[in-house]
Amino acid sequence: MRDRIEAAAPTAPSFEALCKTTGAAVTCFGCALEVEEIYGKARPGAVDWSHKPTLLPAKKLLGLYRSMCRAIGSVPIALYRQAGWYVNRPELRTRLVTCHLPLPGVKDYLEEPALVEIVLHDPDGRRIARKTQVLPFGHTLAVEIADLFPAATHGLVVWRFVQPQLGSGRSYLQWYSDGSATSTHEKLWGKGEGYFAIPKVPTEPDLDIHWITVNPMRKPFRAEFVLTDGGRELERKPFELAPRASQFQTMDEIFPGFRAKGENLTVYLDGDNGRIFCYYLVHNRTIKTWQAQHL
Amino acid sequence: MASAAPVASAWAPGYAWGRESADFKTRLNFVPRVFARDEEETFSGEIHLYTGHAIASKKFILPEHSCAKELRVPLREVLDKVGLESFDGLLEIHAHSTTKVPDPRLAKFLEVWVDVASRDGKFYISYPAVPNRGQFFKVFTGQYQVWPGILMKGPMTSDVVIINANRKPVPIRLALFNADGESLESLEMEAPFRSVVQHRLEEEIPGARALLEKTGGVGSLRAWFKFKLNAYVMFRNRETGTVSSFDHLSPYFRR
Repeated sequence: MRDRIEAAAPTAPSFEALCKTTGAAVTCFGCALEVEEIYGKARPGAVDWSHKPTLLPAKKLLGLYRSMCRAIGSVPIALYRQAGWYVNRPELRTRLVTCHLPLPGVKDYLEEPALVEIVLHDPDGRRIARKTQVLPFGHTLAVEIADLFPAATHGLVVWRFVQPQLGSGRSYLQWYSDGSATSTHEKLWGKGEGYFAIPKVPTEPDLDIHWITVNPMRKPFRAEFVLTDGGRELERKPFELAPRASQFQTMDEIFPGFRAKGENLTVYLDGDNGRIFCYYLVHNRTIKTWQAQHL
Repeated sequence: MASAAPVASAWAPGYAWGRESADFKTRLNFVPRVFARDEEETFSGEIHLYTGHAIASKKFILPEHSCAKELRVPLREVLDKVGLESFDGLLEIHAHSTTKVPDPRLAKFLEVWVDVASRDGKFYISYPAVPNRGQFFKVFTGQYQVWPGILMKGPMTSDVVIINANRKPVPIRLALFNADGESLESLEMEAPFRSVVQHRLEEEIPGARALLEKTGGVGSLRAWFKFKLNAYVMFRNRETGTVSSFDHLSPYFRR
């Protein structure tokens, strides 16, 4: 497989195309990073390395850099960008949680505080709020979106974890309502994720299925939603998302009347999916729960 | 063409929690766009069922099947074939291309999604079965994993589901941290071999809720496994018994 990827890399027009043509595994536990490194070596300059740890100071991050220097002194700093989706509605709210926990028995694990910068975008991709906060070593940071920007509705949330190492600094999103909470992790910036699919779409009448697509890229995203039953294609719908924008749709909005169309329904996004990411939420109206799964 | 045995053994099995009884139903979903790398291929495999030492393992042979076609396997069908009435334990899902060996440096499993639902609607999880080995994350250690956002607030509480796919028991410890860094740790426990165990954190760590409530009911989990295990956090409503969240822990990243 590696030989095939290395052979195809010099002529592949993009990292995503390389994954698609070679069939490189690009799921949650896949090899996107390694494939991208192969591609980067074969096509110097072709890969957007902006999601990699970026050395500071950069002019545009000067304020962040100064805050960090005050907090931790002159340790070399790296920047880890992560992204997710928030919602702030009366029936469903969002809390972002990240932590910076000790790691016993590891000598080179640094115990300096980290800096966390959170940026919110609205559904159309416009930046609407920004917050920077020091996360002391050993602590957990839980940020309520409603406190950060009460008028926010839903959209892309980007946060930068500024510390020499990422360590435990992954972030999880909690979407909660009265009597229910659900959680899943963010996406590390820039991971190519391949296909996004709900392998078995629940069709029970008291369940609303919501598909969430987020485009963290600077370019528009285009694809098609495809509905299949038992592998047989039933319907296609074009889909487009502006840069930094997000879409929160029910399955009924994407494919009206989908419940009547089959027993074994699968929905997926068909296209060069690049670095977008998707979640789905199942809302049970009878027992009043929301449940999330990343795709 | 490579012979069938080396091809099959080159692919890693995925592991998942399966439940089938009067109250629960489980289904395995082999869906082309998620599962297959090459739709021209065919796949085959086996499903092994374990409940630690309680019963001997049982094996179900998957029919050879085109990667371009869906295959849905209700666990009920598997149990009927192997002669079990009910099941609550570890599914070891071997699914492999019939002709191609994966590159050992790449993820070497085919992604099977498993959904488990209770008949009363209070329990529903849908997630991919994943291997216990072969990930490419750069991590500090395979022994510790974290989960930011443990919740013990109002009716909501958090459980940890630990899948031990190994052939031997694995010592484990679970530590809870509140937002200010105060912590409590469980006693050392054992994850039984070839098993799935649901740990109720409020029972395993006395004082857990009081610790987290000092900082708004939110904190983090750090799990220590002597050998790397697959583990998930589940949110449960204590009053209704409803489960509304199920996601995996995260390693300490070295990047």
